[in-house]
Amino acid sequence: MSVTQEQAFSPANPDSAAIKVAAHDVSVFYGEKRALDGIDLDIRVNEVTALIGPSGCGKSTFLRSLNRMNDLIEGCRVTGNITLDGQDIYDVELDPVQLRARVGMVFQKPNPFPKSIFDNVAYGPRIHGLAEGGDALEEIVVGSLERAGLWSEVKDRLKEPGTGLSGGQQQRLCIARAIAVAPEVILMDEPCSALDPIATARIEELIDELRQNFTIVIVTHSMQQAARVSQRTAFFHLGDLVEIGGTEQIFTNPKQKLTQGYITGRFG
Amino acid sequence: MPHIVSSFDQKIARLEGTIERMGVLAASQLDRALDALERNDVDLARAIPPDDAEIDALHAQLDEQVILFLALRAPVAVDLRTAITALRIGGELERIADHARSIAKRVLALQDTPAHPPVQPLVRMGRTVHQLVVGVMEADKMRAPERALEIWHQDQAIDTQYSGAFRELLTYMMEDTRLLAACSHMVFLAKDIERIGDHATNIGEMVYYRETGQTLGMARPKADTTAFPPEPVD
Repeated sequence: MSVTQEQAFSPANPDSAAIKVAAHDVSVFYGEKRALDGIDLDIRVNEVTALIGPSGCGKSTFLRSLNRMNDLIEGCRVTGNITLDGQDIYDVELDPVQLRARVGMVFQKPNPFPKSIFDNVAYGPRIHGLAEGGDALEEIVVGSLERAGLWSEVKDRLKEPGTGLSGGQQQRLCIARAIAVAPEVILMDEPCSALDPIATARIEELIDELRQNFTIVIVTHSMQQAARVSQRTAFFHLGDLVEIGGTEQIFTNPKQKLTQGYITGRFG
Repeated sequence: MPHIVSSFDQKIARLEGTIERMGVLAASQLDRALDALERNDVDLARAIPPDDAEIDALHAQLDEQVILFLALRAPVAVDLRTAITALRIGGELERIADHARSIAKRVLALQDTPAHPPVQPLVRMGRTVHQLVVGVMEADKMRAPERALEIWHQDQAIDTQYSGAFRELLTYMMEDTRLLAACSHMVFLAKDIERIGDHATNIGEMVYYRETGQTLGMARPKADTTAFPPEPVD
């Protein structure tokens, strides 16, 4: 029951936002099992797009297909077309490592490297050759920690292990690590599900600030979080994109009964 | 489809129950006020409680129920619209009861006047408005946006009746100045009835919005011309 963008969402001014990532007729298979079925979904630049839906609906699969993380899963096959600024990200000549520098990812559970706070953030710029000399690298690290809202908390302990931080700080460290390589898109897979409400609020505030410079796609099980942080919301169910629309519209007056059933708790 | 958490549906049912009870009380109060007017029944007019204690208590209870529902259940979509419209419908019903009480007071005030014009046109207008109140509360209970829309349109007929009644009372006042006090009370009484029609229409708008998610954005057709300046005479 896939719907097209045109069927699902008619913004007042459809040209108002440029498309950063465009997915057209995307299906994903794990072996014989089809996890996503012909998804058409555009991600707009400098907006937060939330993907919601029950477990197993395909939202994380779709997220992972946006930076080819699915390539790492044996037996996974992606059909259809996904472009980043018009460039096919599944082009055989495109280096997935370079793609993942442009499309960064933050995971459900904070996963800092077993290194110092400084080195966690410096790792990406080093391997991608983004900094010439120590000063430039330090500038990137400090800038990334500042943008992740962590600098004031860690500036005096940069040599301490990242794993020694609290859960919320670790997740912000992972965000700093992601933005240190100057990505264009940040994918977030339930980034607050392991955090307490205060740490969650800090991350949500950060997401809102980051969207000024980045395009963000977030998978979340928290409907309230989707409502708070995103400008557009897409509802997935059983591998289909049921509805995508402005977040305000989805949470006040969804067009599809299935969406209404899910967000209001009358489902299944 | 029922909510996965059954207590969620119970909270909504309580909201709806409070609104229904307020609607019954407001309509009954209007009905009795109109009976008092029609029969010139002073005892009945005095029997209408001057302080609306019960409906005010229900209104306060409704506000509290909605605030708790919003705070604890974080409703979205149709549930959010249900909560927000419950607040507003409660306010409209409370105002309807206020106007009904005001009608009863005017019935008592008319007793102190030497004479007054016939009240039948106002009673007829009041009965029509009463039907609107009953109808819109049925539309609310039945979750029937089409019925709510019908009522929304019917308010125009009330406005027409009000304009007619106003002009008729003006003619009485011009003919016989001894009727000035009585006619003034009757103009206010007609205005009370007309305002109840507006409140019923507002409830219709809320029901329509709650059920469809769409607001009746266009201006409601109005036929009350009593506030318009007269056409210049050549």
